Amino acid sequence: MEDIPTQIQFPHLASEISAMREADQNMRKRNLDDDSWEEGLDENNTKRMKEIVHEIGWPSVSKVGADASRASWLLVQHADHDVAFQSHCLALMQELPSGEVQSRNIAFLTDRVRVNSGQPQLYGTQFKQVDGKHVPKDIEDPEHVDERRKSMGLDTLADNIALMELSYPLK
Amino acid sequence: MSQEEIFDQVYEKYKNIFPEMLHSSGGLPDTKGVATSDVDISLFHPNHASLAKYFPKDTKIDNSSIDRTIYKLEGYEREVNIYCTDGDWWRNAFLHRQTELALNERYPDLSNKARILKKDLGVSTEMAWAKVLDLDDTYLETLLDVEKVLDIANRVAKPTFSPKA
Repeated sequence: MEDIPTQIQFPHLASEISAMREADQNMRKRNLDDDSWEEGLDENNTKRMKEIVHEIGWPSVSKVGADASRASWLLVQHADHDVAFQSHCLALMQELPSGEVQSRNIAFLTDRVRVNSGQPQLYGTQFKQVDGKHVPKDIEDPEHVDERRKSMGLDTLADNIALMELSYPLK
Repeated sequence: MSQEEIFDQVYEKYKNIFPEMLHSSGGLPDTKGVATSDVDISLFHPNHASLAKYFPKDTKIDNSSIDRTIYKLEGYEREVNIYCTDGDWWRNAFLHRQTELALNERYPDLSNKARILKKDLGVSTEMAWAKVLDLDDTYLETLLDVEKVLDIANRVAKPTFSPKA
């Protein structure tokens, strides 16, 4: 693994991506409180992310820094209305060397694309609510899910389920 | 051989290169059976991804995260994982261990509960304690503060007073 330069290549895009992430997160926090939803925000963020990805490729750590790179993943993770774009970004992320992209983000987007395409997930990162409990959506080869999670830098599925219960308690 | 003894072996071998190595294994070891828990070691290093030259050639390297690299040392009675990072959170697992050891010592009944939860649910030591102490989703941050956690444990362990009529 090569050392990542501390200077990022596109600081102006990093600021813009971080601002988009903030709007995304603010909307989702408000939604938890009052069920409100800002129509068009995800679509607008996706449109801008498409332009950015077209311009510079995947916003990797050396291009925009670790924080904005993670924010880019989060914005694409929420682009469920455009699975083709999610798949395109996933492929770009998978091509990058370690150190340029977080493996755990690849795991989350892999599962998102698979679930959005009607396939079982690989890492157990996507959940549904069943009888008042958080339950992972269908998992392929569930016996080995923790091995796959570990290889991507994730904690165990049991920890993830417990964290969901703590973070989003269901009434 | 205990986790502590293996940590001492590793530390003795590398102390001249990495004197700041910290033992950061979870405080509820071997819930799955004798000697089943790894030995986890925390190490701060600004070039965490470039330390392979200091370890034996058969060392496995996990660089799945951009902010830390795990060097998995072979040849010990337990798995040894050296978690290297340049993040300012590098001591967190060590501090969690200190909190967990203090809980084990002062509240053995709660410790048994946490151990059972860890075994039955398959969760981490931190999550088991979060459940026993009824912590919220900031439990990793809470567990850094040993005094605060002992205070919470004191309240959880204290039997509810129910005056007789």
